[in-house]
Amino acid sequence: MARVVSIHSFRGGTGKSNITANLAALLALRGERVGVIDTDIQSPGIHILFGMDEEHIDKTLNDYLWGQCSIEDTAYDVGERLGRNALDAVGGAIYLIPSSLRAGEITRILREGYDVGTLNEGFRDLIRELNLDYLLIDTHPGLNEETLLSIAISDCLVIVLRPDQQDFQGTAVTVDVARRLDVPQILLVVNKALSSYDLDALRNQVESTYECPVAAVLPLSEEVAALQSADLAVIRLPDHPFSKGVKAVVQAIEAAEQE
Amino acid sequence: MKDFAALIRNLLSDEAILRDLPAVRERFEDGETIFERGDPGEDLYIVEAGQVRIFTVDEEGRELTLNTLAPGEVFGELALLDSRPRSASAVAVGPTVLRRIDRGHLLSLIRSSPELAASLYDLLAQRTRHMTDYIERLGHWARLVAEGRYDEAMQGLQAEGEISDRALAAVADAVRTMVQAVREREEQLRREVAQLRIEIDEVKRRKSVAEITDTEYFRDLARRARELRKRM
Ligand SMILES: Nc1ncnc2c1ncn2[C@@H]1O[C@H](COP(=O)(O)OP(=O)(O)OP(=O)(O)O)[C@@H](O)[C@H]1O
Ligand SMILES: [Mg+2]
Repeated sequence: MARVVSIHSFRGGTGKSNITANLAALLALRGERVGVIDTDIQSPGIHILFGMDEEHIDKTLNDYLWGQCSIEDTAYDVGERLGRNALDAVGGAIYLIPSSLRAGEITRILREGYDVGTLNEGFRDLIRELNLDYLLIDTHPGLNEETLLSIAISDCLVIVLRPDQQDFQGTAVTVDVARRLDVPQILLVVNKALSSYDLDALRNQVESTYECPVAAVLPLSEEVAALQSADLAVIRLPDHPFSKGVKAVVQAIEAAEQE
Repeated sequence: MKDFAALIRNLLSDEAILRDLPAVRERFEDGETIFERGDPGEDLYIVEAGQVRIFTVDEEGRELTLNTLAPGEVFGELALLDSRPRSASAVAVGPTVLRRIDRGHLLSLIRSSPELAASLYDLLAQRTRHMTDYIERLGHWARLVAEGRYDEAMQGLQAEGEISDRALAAVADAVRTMVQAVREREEQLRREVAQLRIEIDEVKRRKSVAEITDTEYFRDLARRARELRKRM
């Protein structure tokens, strides 16, 4: 059975897309078949991390939601980024379902909205058609209806927060909402922690505040920023503390699966 | 007035006087102790070759260098006055040769030479002024540190190291290390305080949660969530 993992943050810019893409890459390199879906329809961006440019994107999630194609028509194999040989050796695969980057299409979907039920069916069909082990959902910040659906259907919710007061407050709300939806596993990931912080103390403080495990505390890093969200840290900087942190998140997710 | 060390050196080169004045020549290896704080202070030394470091040790065993002496310089002169125990320790820096002069002999020489006596007073006056200056500056730096004016303290200490004598430069260096440590500890503390401040406004939290969960959409979703997950 496939596992659905949503990556969410209450506010934008926390590093969701970077974390989602890197998680997906590690899972695929461990032999899993992984789908990554960009449900941040208002401000899509995760495709760049996989080295996809706009010209090569034809059908998108928008087309599926408008009933113009099936969901598997919107899935792109982005395994090239991880090295075809490495993936084939372990039998892993990685697919990206991008949202439209066209301004007109973004405005239209925001204006008209779409049927949340259709999105749900899309998730399901995708898992089936691509025979996925994992579906990773990169969400839009905040808690609109689509995001609530993504959270509700998730086996695991990864909440990303920065160590700042607004994120602390927003995370409290997200944790409460996810608990009301009985999400089986909730993991916190603190991103952009200043290297001067006492990371262990920060982790303990966050865990006790939310009564929720912190899967990783990721440092704010110039090297990660220098990738400009155009490449994967776990591939380019495999020994970097950021990459090691993402690995710890994978381990936390896998540990719950074995239970 | 000629300085004390020069006069002593002159004496030592005068064959007639040297006959009455047993000035022993002693050799020390690098790092070898010449005397330790608390040892009986009986003799005066002149550095002939190498260097001598004068230092004290604090309660936790850390050394504070007070001075470093080069050939031609005199140390141990306080012993001439009162023959009390040594107030600091002395160690050789590099292979070192010293002339050691016995207190009794030197005192009798001083008694017979007004010029030597005057230059001894002069030397002691210099050392006293030096100590006063030293203490004044320590007080000044301590005040800057107490007021958190670390940058000013560091700048002053830096300048001190460049212009003043070796003893002050050495203490400036020790104080600089201290300022750095105090500053780092303070910053560490500030970081800890900052990161411990996770404040959640519980009223606002409940209100935000209610705005989301008190909707028909959410209630329906919550009811179906388990089923939806199973069907994935
Ligand atoms: N640990 C880190 N150190 C330095 N920069 C980081 C780190 N994590 C993410 N970034 C940078 O922060 C920015 C935002 O990252 P990302 O796009 O992944 O966040 P997001 O939560 O998906 O944002 P949005 O809400 O806009 O979708 C990017 O420029 C990324 O390079
Ligand atoms: Mg994003």
